[in-house]
Amino acid sequence: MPEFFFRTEDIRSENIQELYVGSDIDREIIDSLKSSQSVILEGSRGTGKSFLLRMAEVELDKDFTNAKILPVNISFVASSLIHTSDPEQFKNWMLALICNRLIRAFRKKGFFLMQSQATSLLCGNTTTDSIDNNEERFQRISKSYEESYKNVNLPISIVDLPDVISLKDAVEELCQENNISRICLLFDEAIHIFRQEQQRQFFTLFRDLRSPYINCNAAVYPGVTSYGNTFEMSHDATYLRIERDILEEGYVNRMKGIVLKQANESLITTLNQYGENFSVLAYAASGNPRMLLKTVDRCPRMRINDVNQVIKDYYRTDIWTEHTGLGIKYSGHRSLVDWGREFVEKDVLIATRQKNEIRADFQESTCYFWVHRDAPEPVKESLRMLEYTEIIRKHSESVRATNSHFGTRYELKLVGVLSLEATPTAIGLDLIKKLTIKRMTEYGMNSPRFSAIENIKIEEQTDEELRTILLAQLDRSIDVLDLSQWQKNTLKQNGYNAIRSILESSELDMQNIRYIGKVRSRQIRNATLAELLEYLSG
Amino acid sequence: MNIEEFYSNIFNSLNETQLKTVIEKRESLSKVHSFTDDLLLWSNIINPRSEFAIIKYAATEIQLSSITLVIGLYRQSFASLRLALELVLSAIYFSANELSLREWETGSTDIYWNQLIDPENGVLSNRFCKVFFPGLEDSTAAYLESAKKTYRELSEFVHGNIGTWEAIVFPLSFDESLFNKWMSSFVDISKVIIFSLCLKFLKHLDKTSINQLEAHILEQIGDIAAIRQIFDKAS
Repeated sequence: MPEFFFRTEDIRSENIQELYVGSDIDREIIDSLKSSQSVILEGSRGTGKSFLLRMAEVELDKDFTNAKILPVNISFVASSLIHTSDPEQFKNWMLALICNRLIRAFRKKGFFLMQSQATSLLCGNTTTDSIDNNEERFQRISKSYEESYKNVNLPISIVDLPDVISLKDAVEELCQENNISRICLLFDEAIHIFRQEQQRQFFTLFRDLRSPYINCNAAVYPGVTSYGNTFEMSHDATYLRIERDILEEGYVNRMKGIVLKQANESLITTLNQYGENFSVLAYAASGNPRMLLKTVDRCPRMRINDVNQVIKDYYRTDIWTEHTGLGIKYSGHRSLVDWGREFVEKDVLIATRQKNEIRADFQESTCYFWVHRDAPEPVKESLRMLEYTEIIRKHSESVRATNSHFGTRYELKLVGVLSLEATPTAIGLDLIKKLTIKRMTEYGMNSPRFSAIENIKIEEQTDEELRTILLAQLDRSIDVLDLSQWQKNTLKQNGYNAIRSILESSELDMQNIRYIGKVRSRQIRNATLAELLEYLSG
Repeated sequence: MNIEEFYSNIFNSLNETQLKTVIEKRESLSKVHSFTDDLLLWSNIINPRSEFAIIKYAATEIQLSSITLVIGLYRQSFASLRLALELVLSAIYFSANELSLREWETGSTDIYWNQLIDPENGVLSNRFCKVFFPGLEDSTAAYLESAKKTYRELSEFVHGNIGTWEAIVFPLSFDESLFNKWMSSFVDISKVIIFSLCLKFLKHLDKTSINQLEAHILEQIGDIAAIRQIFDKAS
């Protein structure tokens, strides 16, 4: 069995293009990202946002000599760590990161060498020998923000940080001086799904940065709620969604292509031999490459029993655990998260199954449902969370239902529909063949199903609450860490019981413990931080 | 013609090659410059360990290699590149073997390539990995192979194997295929160098140093999850 890349970060830049299996739509997205428009690219987890961003970056980079467009890829994944009293903390942090990455990108293309130590190596010190250059200055600012969760009141000096206008002027000057036509900023993990203030500051910055010399692109999850006062999607960006529609012609082949790019001989043979079973998996993944690779990885032999088991396990364990986890993590949203699960499991799926039984004779089936556009706000918020965890997908908006009202059509991920069947492989392909968007379960404006949550008031998750979540993590026992039992016991004997105690002590303190030296103390701290971040970034 | 004119003629011709190379290959050369900076940063961070000077010299050697490259002295540039790789791996080896370092400093022993890349005890061995960076075992073998392969290719130019005689044409001028060959070896050794430095030192550096090193390490070998974890970018 080959080892699959489940995440774009695991792929080397030089290999990105080899692994690309593009549909026309993917190609259009990449071309839009490379063009001078500003693109907001929406997609759930694992649908390939980062991959397409990297493709655009690699292609622009390779073509730099001709097109003179400089790509700069920046990830805002660490936004959950930022907790200062600075009301513009996100903007400042993002600006610092952008400045740092920009300078580096210029330097790597051979512009802007003046501040470099390497420049004076062979011909003496012509300019400055100081390594305290701007690139590092900006990095220090962004890092201070990223460490602010430890101490909210620690002031961060931003005197070195330019405002947006000066930054744009500087970029314009640099571009003109060096004959660069523009900078293409690619923001990955651009927004934090539960931090509205971060979303507002991001979209404001996104809009303000735009100039003839800068265009911005961002990959976001579904479920953005706050765009700030100035940003308007229709004016300020081109909105694109990553779509791999299961009803599209050639769907299975394209998904197969993605797997084949990473397959070895034996897997290729298996895929050809058990083509139908693979097709069921491909449909179950509902256009999500990461999910497909993960499920294929779990049943490399593609036998019927394995495939059926994987479909059931993946749905029951992996997907729902993640969804329920959201409610535990962001307790303010817990009732919405739980209601969403109830709604899908107890209502939508059952109704869908009944429909499919009844309509089978008419050669029709469905995985769609419709929600009235004036459904209670908590319902919509709950559906957004189901989109975020990839349980449902927004299929299309402004769809007329049988009562001629307008609403949104959602698609249940097929893995959910299939997992209810005793043997998904037996009915899978038949069900998929009969799929029609015309049949959908409808939930009107005042559907009785909504009564349980319509009165829930949705409150913006405040920073204070988010910090509480973070601090609650700090109070968790060190038992959750990826350390050996011996290490855990030793730590506890010495009073290190909670994650906090490790992060707050210095490595030197820890080295006072018998048998814990430099290496172990570092290793312990790293394991602790990694655990914390993994939890916070979901 | 006098001796002054003789040399001056040669340098004029080398200068033509230099101008042409820099125009054609400015992007590739920018990468080399930027890598030298990265290596100097490592040297600053490892200071005051005595091995820092060796790493600094390796950075210098890479620049010398690039100079001979742009003026078309290809054989010399390949030899310098090989030396740079050898120097960095030696510095790493010495950092774990003080006795060898002191003997080398006093001139009583030499650096042996085979010792550096010994699969049992070398700087890219499992033994090193287990002690200095557990978790990198899976990637180490591949980098060891890459180091050996690139070194062997560069050695052909050092030893003047017949193929290399034929490849280098006189009078000296810009030669795209030799330039690209150098560049491809450079890309390989720069990854090996950064990987080996991370393997030996990264886990034991303070937070400030790790922050300083982050950008280029992630660019070079950020595809390795264990490396991303160090920078809190595990997910």
